[in-house]
Amino acid sequence: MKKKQRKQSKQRFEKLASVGSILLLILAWYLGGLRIADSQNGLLNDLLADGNSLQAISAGLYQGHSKSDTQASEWIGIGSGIGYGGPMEVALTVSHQGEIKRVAVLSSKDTSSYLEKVVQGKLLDKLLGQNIKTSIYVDAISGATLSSNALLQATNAAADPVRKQLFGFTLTEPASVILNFRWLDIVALLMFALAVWVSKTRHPKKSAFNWALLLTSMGLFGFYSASLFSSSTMGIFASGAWISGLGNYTPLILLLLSAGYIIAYNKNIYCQSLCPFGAAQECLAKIGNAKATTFKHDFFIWFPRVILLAALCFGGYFRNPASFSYEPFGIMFGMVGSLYLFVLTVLVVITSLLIRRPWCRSLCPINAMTDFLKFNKNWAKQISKQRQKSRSERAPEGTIIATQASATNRSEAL
Amino acid sequence: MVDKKHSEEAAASLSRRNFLKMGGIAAATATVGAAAGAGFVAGRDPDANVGWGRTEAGKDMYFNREPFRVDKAPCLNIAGPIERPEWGDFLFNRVMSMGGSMHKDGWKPNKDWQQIPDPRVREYYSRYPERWPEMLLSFREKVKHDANLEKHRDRFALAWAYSGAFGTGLHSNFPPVPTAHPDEDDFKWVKREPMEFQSPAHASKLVKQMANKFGMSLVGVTKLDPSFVFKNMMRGMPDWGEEIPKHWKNVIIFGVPMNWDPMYAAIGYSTSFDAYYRVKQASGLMAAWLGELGYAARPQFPGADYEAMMVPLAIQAGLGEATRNGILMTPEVGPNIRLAAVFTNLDLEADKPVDLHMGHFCESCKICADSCPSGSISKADKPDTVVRGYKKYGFNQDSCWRFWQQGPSETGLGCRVCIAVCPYTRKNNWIHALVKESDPRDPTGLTRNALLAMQHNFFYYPDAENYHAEWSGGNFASYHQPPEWLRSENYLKVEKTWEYDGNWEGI
Amino acid sequence: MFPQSTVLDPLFWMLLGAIQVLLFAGVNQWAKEHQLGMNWWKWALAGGWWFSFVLTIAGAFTLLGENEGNAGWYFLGFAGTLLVIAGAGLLKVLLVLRDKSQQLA
Repeated sequence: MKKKQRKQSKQRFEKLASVGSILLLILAWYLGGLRIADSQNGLLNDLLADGNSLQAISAGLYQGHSKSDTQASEWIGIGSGIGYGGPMEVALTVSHQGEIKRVAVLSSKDTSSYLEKVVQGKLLDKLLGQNIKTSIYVDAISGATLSSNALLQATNAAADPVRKQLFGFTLTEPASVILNFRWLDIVALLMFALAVWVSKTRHPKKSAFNWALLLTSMGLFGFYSASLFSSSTMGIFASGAWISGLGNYTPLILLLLSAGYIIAYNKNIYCQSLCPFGAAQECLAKIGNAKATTFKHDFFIWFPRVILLAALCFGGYFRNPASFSYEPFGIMFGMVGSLYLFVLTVLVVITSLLIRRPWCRSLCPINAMTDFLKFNKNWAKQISKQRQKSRSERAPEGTIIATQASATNRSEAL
Repeated sequence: MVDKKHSEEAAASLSRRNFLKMGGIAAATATVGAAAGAGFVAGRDPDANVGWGRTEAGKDMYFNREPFRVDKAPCLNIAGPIERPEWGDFLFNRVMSMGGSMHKDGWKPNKDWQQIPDPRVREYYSRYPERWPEMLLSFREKVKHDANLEKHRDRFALAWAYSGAFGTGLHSNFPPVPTAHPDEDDFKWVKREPMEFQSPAHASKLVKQMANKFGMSLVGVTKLDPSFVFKNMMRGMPDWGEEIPKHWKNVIIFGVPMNWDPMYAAIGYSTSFDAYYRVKQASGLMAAWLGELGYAARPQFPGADYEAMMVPLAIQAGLGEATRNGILMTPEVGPNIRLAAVFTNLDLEADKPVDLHMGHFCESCKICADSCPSGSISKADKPDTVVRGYKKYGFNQDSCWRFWQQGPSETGLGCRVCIAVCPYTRKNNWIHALVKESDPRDPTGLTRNALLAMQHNFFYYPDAENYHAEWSGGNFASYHQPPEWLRSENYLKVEKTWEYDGNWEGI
Repeated sequence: MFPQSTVLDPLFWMLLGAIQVLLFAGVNQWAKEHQLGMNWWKWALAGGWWFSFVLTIAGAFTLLGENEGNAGWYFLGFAGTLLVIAGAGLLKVLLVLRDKSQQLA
């Protein structure tokens, strides 16, 4: 009897946490909106040469003139390009002759370490002095191609209104969202379908198939393209940044398919058969004869949930979900990330030799997401069942089924 | 009885086995600790400071060049008609001439380069009109530099003192600047008839040893190639045409690195004067030594006492190769080298140039160009200009000079950031020696690419702007933080109000 | 370890060499106890791994010593992790081969 009571109180707490976290996310988003309302204007004024004032001409085009002179001394164009995390906005100061004087990134949703790589690669410097009469092109910084391309695309888009004003023509066509789909996205769909098949098949070589899938995925979505999904993908999805286009849809596709499958069939097949980082850990476990250990303490369940929520809230507040990712994926598959992430990655990799999938069992946000989805699904199911039951007499099993399902979630997810 | 003996033996062998097993673990732990400790002190080892350690024994030049000798320097690519450098090509000639016009004749520089009084300076800017705004800016920046400098004495007092001491030494009159016709001046130390050497090879061998005795780290010998001798320029002669004195047959060219820790702390804590002083003295000693044996000698030395360009001559003498930043790159000390030379009529056996694949290295590295605080170094993938007939990387000497004038050195001279950040500018400890020995021997380029991948991903480089002084938008960053003995807060009664931006030991 | 000391430095290197003898004697005991059936190439691999491992640590600390802190730690993390993985792999190979030789015997 006591056990049941404890279960019920635990469930009440989880319901509260589930609703609370959604409310917290909305609050962070709302506060973030207040924060950025006036920051853009300030940035534009910084771009002007000293003592000049700013005047809006049309959408995306401003004119700067010195106080003594009414004639425009320079032009400012604003445009956007599509990066990893969604649109990136760039402002350009252009001289009368069409020469780029200054460049500023007004907003970006890309992971800061990638953007940093672009800045360190001096991509902005290379743009200075170029003339906008022709389409602007510089080589992308290797290792941060998406952010480089976004910046270039945004620069060309920002040059367009000025081009029209100065020379009477434009060079860029509005990019279509469809164009951003690539062959990797189709491969992602295909791989997911295969993963579904593998999870259902009773073929004697089932585990060999699963290994083949994992290794392919580690090569393709890991070392080749680093397009596995992470907390930042969840943030990008929640923030809606993907509607206006993304530089790389693969992570989002993998996320949506996985989440959808969890909701529909209560089963997480991404972690089992597709996750490149999981695959890397499995390989290391094979090398080191790692033991499968489960961390039973509540801490290991709640800690990743809190971290994920915090990352998403900060991402929402700063309108940049990609810059708060804390996973070792970037370092592992592209040597991009801070020294702290590097240390974390080294720790996880070495622990993987001794313990099977230590990252999955401790900090990975995907468990937290899986638990959240399953819990809410069961809750909804339970409510609808109770309604049905109360209509047609009563039966109390509903709650028990739900809690049982919730308890089995974690073992399945692994 | 037998049983007991048996069990005793078994026990003894068991304890022996246990001892070995545990001992093995202890030995492994000790070895790991020893490796870390020995590694750390190897990094700190003053013997790694080439040129400031085992110089006198001639052991600075530890790289064996013999397997790499070639007939033609791979970096001296001829792509057009060879021309000799003009008087105006030499930056210090231009600067000194314009300084004279300003101070003596009251000339005020303006946007129009055609109003420059000295026709020889004007000739240069007629070829590079786009560089004139940089030179013009340098005048203004020097004023700003001088107005702001004193505020930072608390921080830089020891660095200025170190630099200033060598500067005073450098500007003493040894060797004396030529004052007469070279046919006279170059023989001023010849007292007797020449002593004949057994062969030019013997002469070269001895001359190189003498350079070591005079404190030089690297030394080479080459024939004087007239294409690198300036036209219309002869110290001691106000008017000179294109003639080259007949007794200038061979060149003994040598160099020494700048002291390592100050150099890594460029700009504010570094100086060229330490190395300048030493190479200048050595050029004088070498000239005097040649005179004692009866041979003519014409020393060439820094700051600005030259009749020919040092870098191409050093390349021809096999000291190293050309680089992206235009400085000689040697296998031992990278571009951290300051050169002087002596022209002589002594018959010497010339060294051959070397091919160490450094050109490939520069193509893909670009770290100096990315770090350059004035953007003077070309970022092109391949040598992108032709200068006097030779294909090389573009380099804007006027914007480089402009940055000297605004940079945080006491004299407003020199920057040295491109030298400090170059992956070849590394002390002589075992890891860098391994790399410097293996890269030139690897025909696949794998070593180079692996090294550059590490270089780009593992190493910290301050942003180019941060090298600037506070008054021009930087934070006095340096590639390495200054050494303990140049930090004024360690020795002087000053209050430390600044933070260092640069690499440190990381512990 | 003591680069400017004419006495301590040679002593240090001699001691380090002596320790290596103890180390390999110890490893030999462990290998016998676990019946690894060490032969020349197994010893070569194990020795090579140990040498690389020690060099990696020494290299990283040399970088730290010459004030290249960032590079030192990254080098240790990167090369060190690869070597740890390689070491685990080597151990696995040795253990697997032991099983086989035992089955055959």
